[in-house]
Amino acid sequence: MRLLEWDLAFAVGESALNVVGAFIGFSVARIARQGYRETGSPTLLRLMVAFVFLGSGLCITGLSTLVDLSALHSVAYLAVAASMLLGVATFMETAGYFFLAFSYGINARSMGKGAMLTPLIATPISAASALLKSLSFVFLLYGFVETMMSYFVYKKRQTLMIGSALALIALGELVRWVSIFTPGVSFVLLVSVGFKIVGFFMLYAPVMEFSSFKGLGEYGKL
Amino acid sequence: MASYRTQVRIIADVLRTAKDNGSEGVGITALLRKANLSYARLVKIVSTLVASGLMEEVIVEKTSRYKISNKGVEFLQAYGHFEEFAKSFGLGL
Repeated sequence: MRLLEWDLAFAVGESALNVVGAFIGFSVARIARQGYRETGSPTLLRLMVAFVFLGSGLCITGLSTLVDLSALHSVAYLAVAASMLLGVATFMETAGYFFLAFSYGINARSMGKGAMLTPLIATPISAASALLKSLSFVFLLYGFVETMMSYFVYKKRQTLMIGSALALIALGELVRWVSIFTPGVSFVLLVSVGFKIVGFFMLYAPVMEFSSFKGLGEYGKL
Repeated sequence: MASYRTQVRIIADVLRTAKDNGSEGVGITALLRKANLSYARLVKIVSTLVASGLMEEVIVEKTSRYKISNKGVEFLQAYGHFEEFAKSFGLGL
């Protein structure tokens, strides 16, 4: 009974953290969307797509945690549904990190299709999940290195914060990847979500400054 | 490899060149040099900017010069916000 109570608390906590992460992800996507609509910049389009994927992925992860909890009551099809939802969420998050890394100029032809799709077809869901997590880590690390390189050029505080945020999210992904090989250790999962949420908050802090943009639309069609 | 510039970025580049020249304004030849566009395209863009009130045309010694208007300065500030947003991620527009 105590185990069920702990699982319930853990599942609700993890879901709440994921929903917070999703909110932050969608907020960044909203600003990037406005920027894309106003300037037509492909960079902002990629940022928007990245954060829509990340927000959706986190939302579905939160949902899968709750569905997984329901499966504790020995409802087999719910366990399958939770596993499938988690697979979809992992894919969406990895796609989000891919688009984020792609914004920094990763060559899509050499890395995108080959690295993303071939392993998915060839491997079962659990192995694909581990692979996607490791890919997410690589994409995030790439984003972190590029952001920090930009920081050393421009010395902008916001860039430093976003670089640190990407490092924390990457750390969260690494811990999550480790947790795949240590099943049943909920604490490791919680640490992973914690790293990711702190990372998302650090990402949101500098982005929040841009939330009250004045659009370019009022200047007419140019 | 040269980076692809969107229409809005080209407009921002033209406006910045005009702004850098202050109240004296800038001639079409200097704009051509800085904006890196064909003559026909630049003339079309400058006409649009003048028509929409982002630039002002002044005649000095029988030649046209172009100055940025207050509305143009506001446009550059708004564009700058999006540029800063992208730069926060270490990216350029």
